[in-house]
Amino acid sequence: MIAPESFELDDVDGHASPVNEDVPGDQEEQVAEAAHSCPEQAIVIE
Amino acid sequence: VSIEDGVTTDGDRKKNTYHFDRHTPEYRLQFEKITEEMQSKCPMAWTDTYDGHWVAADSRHVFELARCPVVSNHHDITGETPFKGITIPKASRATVVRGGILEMDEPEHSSYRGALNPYLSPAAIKRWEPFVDEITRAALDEHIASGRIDFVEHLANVVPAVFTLAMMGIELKKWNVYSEPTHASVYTPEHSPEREKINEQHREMGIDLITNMMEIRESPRPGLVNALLQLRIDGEPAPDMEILGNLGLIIGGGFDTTTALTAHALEWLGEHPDERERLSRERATLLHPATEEFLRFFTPAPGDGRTFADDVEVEGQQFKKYERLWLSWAMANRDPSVFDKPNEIMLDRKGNRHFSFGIGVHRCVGSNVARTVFKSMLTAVLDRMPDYVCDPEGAVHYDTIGVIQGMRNLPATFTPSEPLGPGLDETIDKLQRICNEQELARPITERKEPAVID
Repeated sequence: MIAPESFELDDVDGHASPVNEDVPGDQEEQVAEAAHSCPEQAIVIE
Repeated sequence: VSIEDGVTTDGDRKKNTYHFDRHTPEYRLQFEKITEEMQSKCPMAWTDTYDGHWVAADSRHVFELARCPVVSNHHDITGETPFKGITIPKASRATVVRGGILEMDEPEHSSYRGALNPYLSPAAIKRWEPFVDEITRAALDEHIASGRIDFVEHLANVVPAVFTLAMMGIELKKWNVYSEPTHASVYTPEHSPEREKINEQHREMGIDLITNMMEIRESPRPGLVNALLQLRIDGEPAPDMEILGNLGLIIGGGFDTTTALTAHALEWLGEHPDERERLSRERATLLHPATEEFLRFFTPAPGDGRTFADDVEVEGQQFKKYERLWLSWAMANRDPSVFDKPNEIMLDRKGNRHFSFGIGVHRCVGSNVARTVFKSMLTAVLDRMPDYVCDPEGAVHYDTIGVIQGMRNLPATFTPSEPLGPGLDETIDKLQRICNEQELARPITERKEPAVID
């Protein structure tokens, strides 16, 4: 996982969801890379 | 509407034609050239091969079509409707079962997938890491003192097979009954003289699978077989044929693909010893991106077929009901609009949104199995055979890459060392006992603890 502090994976089906609506400053770079790398293009940063 | 009108309209729809035959050796040899040509001239092309079908060759079309609800995976094995599942062309031997969830549409697909997920999620697979590492160790220990190994036969064919059977709840020592026909049926041409022997082995495997299913129905034991037997859809058990189709998919998906990925990665690292040394040294940061990069570049499962369930327009192209489509994960993975220098392997590649596990609801259910097994084998080789040299004369790639981009052999030599533990047979007996005692094949909903290897 590219941004393990910012997303959590469901134990049962493996779906990822954000830990917080707001991304802390020190995780911004990782989250941007996660969005860039997501094969489903499912991560949107506002 | 006159016939001429129809022809004109069709000709207009299919004006971007390309002779595309991925089952020929030429397609493998000229893969990069063909990919560049299609992406620059006709990323959405019509080909007359195999009764005619569409080919999506770039990331944009592959992405949109893979997620389009009108694009169907369904396979009607009665032949009454022209839904032909994920293979192009349809297999010549009689198809008796659908290919599990990969040949189902919603809502059926999600009912079955929901039963498999708690066995295959990242958390579920993480519990198995000590188990996987132990099979890997034993496979290497069989050969470590000799200084010679065939990475395909002795490692990459073994670990995925043993682990897949463990998750299914099938006896581990049967791994070769399943492994041999699964690999051989992919790389052996339909008309080759070896085919009859492979078909016979395939029948033997099918009989063992049915025997296991009946045994587990009588006296349940944990694993994916049991998951499918316990599944209820609208209160009814799943038909036996659908259970078998899904078990066949788990075997086909679990065995040959990870083998192919591992063999290609080890071959490439053998040819690039500096990169191998760097990967080993910087594995804390490089192992994850390198795994995704090997997945992208070598795309073990190069694509999937689909059938249009209705007329639809996607990205400006009109498609007609019952037309067939090939989604090329392998070519989308070389799209320069998504991947900088797409024909180069960059172990630390960023933004690697590769297509190797597919896209959309049918995204590979075993992706975490593949990653875990691959990383176990790769790191063990880097640790225990760091100076290996592959023998290019003995390396055998599949002649064609229409189904799996795989390898049959990858012999290598290395500085011998002492085994760390017992060999494969003894280890498999021990792991069987551990599987039974700790009930490792239970789903994550019933068992959270990692496997303990004593």
